[in-house]
Amino acid sequence: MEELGYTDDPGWFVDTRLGRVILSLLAAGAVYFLVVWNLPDSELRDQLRPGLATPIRTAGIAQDWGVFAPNPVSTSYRVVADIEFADGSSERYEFPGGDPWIGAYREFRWRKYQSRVRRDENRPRWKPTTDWIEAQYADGSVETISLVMRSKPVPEPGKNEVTEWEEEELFVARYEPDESDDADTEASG
Amino acid sequence: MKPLRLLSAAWSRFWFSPRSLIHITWIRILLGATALLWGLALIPDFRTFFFDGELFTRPRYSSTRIGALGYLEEDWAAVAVLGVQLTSAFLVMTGRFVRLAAPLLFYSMLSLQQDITILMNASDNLLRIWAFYFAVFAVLTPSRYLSLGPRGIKRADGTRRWPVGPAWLLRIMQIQLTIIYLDTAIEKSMGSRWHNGTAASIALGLEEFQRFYVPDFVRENVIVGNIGTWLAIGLEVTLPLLLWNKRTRLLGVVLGVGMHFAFDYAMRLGYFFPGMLIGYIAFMRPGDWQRLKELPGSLFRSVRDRPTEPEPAPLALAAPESDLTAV
Repeated sequence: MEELGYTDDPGWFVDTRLGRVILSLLAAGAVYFLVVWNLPDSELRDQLRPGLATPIRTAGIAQDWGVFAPNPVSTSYRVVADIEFADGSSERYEFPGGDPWIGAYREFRWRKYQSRVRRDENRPRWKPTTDWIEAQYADGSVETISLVMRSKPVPEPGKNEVTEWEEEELFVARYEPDESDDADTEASG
Repeated sequence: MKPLRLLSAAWSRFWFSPRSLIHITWIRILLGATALLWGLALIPDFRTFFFDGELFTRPRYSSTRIGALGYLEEDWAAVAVLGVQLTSAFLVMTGRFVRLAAPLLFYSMLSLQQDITILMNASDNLLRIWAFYFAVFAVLTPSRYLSLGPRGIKRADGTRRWPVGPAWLLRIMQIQLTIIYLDTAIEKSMGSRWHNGTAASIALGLEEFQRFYVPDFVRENVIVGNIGTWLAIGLEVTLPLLLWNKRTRLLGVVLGVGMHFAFDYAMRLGYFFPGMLIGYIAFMRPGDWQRLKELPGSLFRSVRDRPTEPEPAPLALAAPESDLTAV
């Protein structure tokens, strides 16, 4: 299937001096960016990175590879919503899930959302989140929605610990049935 | 003068030596296919994520964000950008109009990602970065090199060949992949859980990541956890060395792909596995796939023939030196 030894015309960018100079400049610039951008937190990086920041962020190739670094977080988080309806009934809302095969490629975004929206710096997103959940109930019968953060420490390996989910109310939104735009809100926690 | 000339020659050899286009072709196909899946997976929640009055208010665009949805704030614009993303991913995958489709693929992914950064993880960044490099390569490369099928070119006599062409894209991707490992290894080297060997157990215990079944003892057994942790960080440290050494390059590819497959089996990491796979293709050479296919038989023969041979055969992954081009 594979064969070497046949050389086609590679195009002027590789086959001429000018083309190679241009490509060499691009390549050298790319290597410089990759090395400087990914330097460990240091004085050298602090001095060199600012000059790169604007073009790199504009080009959309800024990067950070600290996955599970320096340590993986040691607590599992979920966000759910407790809903009370005008007729006195209640329900717990969970964000969309997905099977581990193809559905995983959808669900991981919702899991990412839950892991981030719970954070205090994302407090401005709590109200739009409850509003969106309220809109999922088309009959407009929702009276209150409490956004709840669930957390469970990952048991230390080898200690046979069993940890439980703990819940913390983040935010409560009250709705007039059928008038979701005028919701009163209060933050908790 | 001579050292400069040697340096210049080495530089030209490194970046501009023509190579078989089999791996650039497969990078293109896998990038297109993964980007297509990426776009399709957004469809069930597209309205929720991108339409006005849904889950997100309008994102704040800084001056360095040039995504199309920063300028076009209507719902139809989001739909149009997704349409461009899906179409260009399909065209890149199938090798049609790639010089136009590849830049469009990058820009449409960038535009969609910048509107929902809260939902993005490292795998989205990786895909976008590969799309960027490929777009630059596509723009600067004659289109006949970008439209090859998955089996190369068919000759008149029915046999197939792979043309040789510009392959500097592979170098950029190799350097990028190497830097990913170096960066993450340096950051992890400061983490206490990577020192005491509990990081893998903790990561496997995070419920938001769990995917397929992993036996409890893998997570709970301290020894297994230690081995898993140190194997992972050990590989991240050594993979750059393995991949850049021509005798161990293929072993590095097998170990690296195996490690990411294991991560992807156990955890929901988005598009990290196909993204890293794209990077590993950049380290492969003509004939590698054949050697990998022969590996099980070769290992079997090695075990079977051991008593009659004074010295066991070297690991089948180490190809004959003459068969390997410089990485």
